[in-house]
Parts: sequence; structure tokens; C-alpha cells
Amino acid sequence: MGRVETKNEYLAELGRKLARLPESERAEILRDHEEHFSDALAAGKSEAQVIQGLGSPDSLAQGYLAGRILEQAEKSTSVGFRLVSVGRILKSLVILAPLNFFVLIGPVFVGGGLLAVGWWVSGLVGTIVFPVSWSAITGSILGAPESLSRLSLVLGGATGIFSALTMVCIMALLTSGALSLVLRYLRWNLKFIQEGK
Amino acid sequence: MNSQFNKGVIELCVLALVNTKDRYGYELVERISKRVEISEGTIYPILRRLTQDGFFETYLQESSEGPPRKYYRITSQGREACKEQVQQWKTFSGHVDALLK
Repeated sequence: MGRVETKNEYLAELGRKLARLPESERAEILRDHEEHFSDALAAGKSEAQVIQGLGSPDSLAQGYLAGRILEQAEKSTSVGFRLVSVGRILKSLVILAPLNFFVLIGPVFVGGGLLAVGWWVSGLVGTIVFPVSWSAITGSILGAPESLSRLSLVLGGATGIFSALTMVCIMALLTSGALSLVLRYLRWNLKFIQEGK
Repeated sequence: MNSQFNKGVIELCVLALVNTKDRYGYELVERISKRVEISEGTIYPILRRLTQDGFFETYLQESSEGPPRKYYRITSQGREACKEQVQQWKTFSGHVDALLK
């Protein structure tokens, strides 16, 4: 689609860009901007002036889309959903302000990198500790000679499994904590972009 | 004026203007853009967010200009937020003024 030059073209294009929003919300945003047009025209502005004042339908829409995804992600408790949302918000924010990419990439990359390393290490430890601990327990039950060494094998195995599980729990907590921080950062970033225009 | 100064302040202006009386979108755009250089598209997402956060309620009222206008009315929660943000702004701008003397 080329340049939008009239009120109707502008609203139609805005509506298309907002297609991913629930219908009621989309209709309400369109209504608000239709009201804006009619008030601005009544005040003596031309359609072209109003369009210039509002900015492109695409950037206006991306602001609303990013806001909506952020709000849903903040309410959600699902780590997977939040991760997918972060990706979608990043996309909107970069379309809104391309240079913003360099501001966003630092914290998201560092945070994501640290988490990936954490998961990798705990995965590695888990794959070693788990089989060893497990065979210690089963081995002791099947046939260790003395009761004392049998007990220590079981205890050792249980400790191994317990610490591996604790590590996974800690990583899960860190991940969801980091996601909340990233979402707060993105919220702040969105506000910053929109108000700085 | 440097648009870097706008960041964070537009929301405060919107809150403070609706705090004095119920207002509609274009009225806010006009009032604010008369004194602060903003893109007119900035105000509507802010109005939407403040409404979703429970700071404003909205209602429609007939207008002679065309379609009914959406008015924004401040809630008690919004009044609290406004008071707090005005206070923060005064403290901040006071410190900056003192440094500029």
C-alpha cells in the first residue's frame, strides 16, 4: 500500500494493521481516531494535516499492538507464552523505531545469554548426576554387602537427585524473574518511544 | 524544544488536565500541543493505557461537530496517581532549577 492521503484511506489502513486485535478493541481505536479526524477538520485543519500529525498508520498500529501484547504477557503466568510475547513485542518496537534495536538488543541478549548458560550447565550436571545417583540407589538395594555402605549409597544418591532438582527449580525461578524484568523494561521502552515522538 | 524532555511528562500532563475536569481526546491534543511539541498520535495510546490501568473512566456524549465524543473522567485511583506524579515532578524540577541558578 502506498501513501495514505485521505481520512478514509488512513482509517482503513489503520484497521488493517490492527487486524490482530480483538474486534471490539480494534473498533474502539478506530472510533477514537475517527473522532480525532472530525474534531480536527471542524477546527479548520485539512485531512493531509491531520494525517501528518498522527504519523503513519503502521507506527500508530504497532504502538497499540505492542501495548496489547505487553498487557497480556504481564497477566500471563506461562513462561512459554511470555517468551513468545517478548519476541513479538521486540518486533513491534523495532518497526516503531528502527534505531531502538540497539537499545533493546543489549539487555535482552545479556539476560537471554546468561539464562541459556545457566540451563545448559544445569542440564549437563543433571545428565551426569541423575544416572549416577540412580544407579547408586538401585545398586545398593540389589546387592551391596554391608548395611552401612548400603545406607550411605542410598543417602548419597538421594542427595544427588535432590540437588539436581533444586538446581532446575532455581533456574526456573530465575527464568520467570528475568522475564518479568524484561517485560517491565519493554513497557518502559514503549512509553519512552511513544512520548518522545 | 528538545523532544527528549517530553518523555514521561506527557502522561503527567494528560493526568493533570483530566484531573481538573472531564475532557475529550482532541481537546487534550490541542491543549498539550499548544505548549509542548508532540505528535498528535501520541495522546491516544496514552489515554488508552491510563484507562486500562483504571485511572480514567470514559463515557460518550453527543457533539455538534460529528460523531459522539468520548470523554475521560478521572477515578479516585487516577487522582492518587496524579497527586503522586505532580509531587515527583515538582521535586525533580525544583532540583533542576536550583542547579541552573
